[in-house]
Amino acid sequence: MSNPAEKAMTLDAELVARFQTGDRSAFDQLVEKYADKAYQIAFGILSHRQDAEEVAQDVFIRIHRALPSFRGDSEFSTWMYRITVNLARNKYRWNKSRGAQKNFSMDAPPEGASLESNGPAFDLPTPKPSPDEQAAFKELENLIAAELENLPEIYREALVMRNMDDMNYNQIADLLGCKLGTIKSRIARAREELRRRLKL
Amino acid sequence: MNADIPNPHPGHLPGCPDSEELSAWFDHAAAAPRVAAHVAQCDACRREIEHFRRLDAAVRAAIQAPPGLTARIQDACRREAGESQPARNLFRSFRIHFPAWRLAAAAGITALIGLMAWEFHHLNRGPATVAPDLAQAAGTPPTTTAGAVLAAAGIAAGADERTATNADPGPGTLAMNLGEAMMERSPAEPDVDTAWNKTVTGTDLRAVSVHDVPATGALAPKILEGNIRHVWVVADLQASTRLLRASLPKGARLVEKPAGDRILFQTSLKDGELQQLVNALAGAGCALVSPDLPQPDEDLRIHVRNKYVSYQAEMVLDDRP
Repeated sequence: MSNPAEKAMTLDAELVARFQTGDRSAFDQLVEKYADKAYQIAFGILSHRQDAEEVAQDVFIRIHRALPSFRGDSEFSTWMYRITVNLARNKYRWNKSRGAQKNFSMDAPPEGASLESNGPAFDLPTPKPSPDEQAAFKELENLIAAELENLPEIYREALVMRNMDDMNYNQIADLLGCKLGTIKSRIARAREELRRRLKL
Repeated sequence: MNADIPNPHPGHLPGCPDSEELSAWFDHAAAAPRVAAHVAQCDACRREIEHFRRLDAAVRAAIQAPPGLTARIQDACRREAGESQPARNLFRSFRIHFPAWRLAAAAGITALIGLMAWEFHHLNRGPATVAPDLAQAAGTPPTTTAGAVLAAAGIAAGADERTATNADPGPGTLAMNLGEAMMERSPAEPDVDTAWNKTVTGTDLRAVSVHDVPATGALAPKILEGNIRHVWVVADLQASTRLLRASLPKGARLVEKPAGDRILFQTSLKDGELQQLVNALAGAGCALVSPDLPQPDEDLRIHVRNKYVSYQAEMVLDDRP
């Protein structure tokens, strides 16, 4: 096995196979592994904690029903992410049609040009924060939590997915059904918008 | 990077990468050498990178899942699998295996069993010397209680469970009514069996949400046959109609009948195409409120044979304020 991603896929396939042969604990392991990610994707789209948790729960109930006949044509994680996005979007539209959500400003400028994809040449060091910096960070975290809700959905979902530990631009683009350049633009605009709102 | 265009960010030098380029570079998703060389020399860009880092760290902290989420999901799946699901399968199979004449016979048999149970009960409790016919002559009613019928129906349904096969529910039946009377649900549990039989009207649609989709259990893929009818709630009838037309495979014939706040559609599609159509409509925000297969993004629940099925879709305008 050459890399962690392949190992993870193999482990998922093993867990699915074990569940299909009656091992209930294998499903629990899949939930342990992916519950937080389902929640985060749903939160990125819905910007509502309770709704995100409901969607995450609904995702796994549906997976539990369908998993016995899951043929493994796609990776389990891809399948799970896709279900989550669809259910969260349905929930978002439903909420919106019922007036349960705020009306987000969607008048932000459209996406710009795409960029070539390549890795960076170097990374910047991450300094260890002092107590003052930690307090400032906590405050920033609270502000971000509030401002995330006010970001347009298309920006928020891309930025949140980018901050899930294993999502790169290609995966986000695939999951959201967008071009790579669109995702780059949305993430940049999300950051720009947050900086503007937080006056950073 | 464009040296001719002044950079809008204060402190930046002409020739700084724009924020999109910088953001992509920060995320390891953009061409690096020039940006990297520039960032190494430009304080303003390094500050911006540092802002990205702080923002992202705060975002990661803000989107953390709530404590106990995993356990709650595991519990919900167990409840779904261990309690409500077998009961639903039981009733479905009961309907399928008991056509009308069998139901009538079953009702007669259960009434008889109930009568015998009642008589046995009273014989055991009553004076040993009193024969059943004498007791009846003395005024004890030989009628069957509803409880006995339900208990007997439970025996019949339980026996049938052993031969259960997966099938879609038909219309409501006597068996269903008896079965529902027997089911014990917690107040918080949604009444999914009622949802199966719900007659959807323009008003009822408002009570049905994405969470009201009936649970179906881990079923084997089902073959789509005959006429399939779905009711969809849509925000815009015209836009949804255009979407439906655009989502149909090439050459598919579509009949449209506008009717006030709704439009009826009829077409004929291969089973796999129908699943794709349902996925497309749901993906675009149309809310499917009918429980029948195919359901959005549940491709695995149907057995695709590339056979044609007749599909009727009723799109109802969601006119809530």
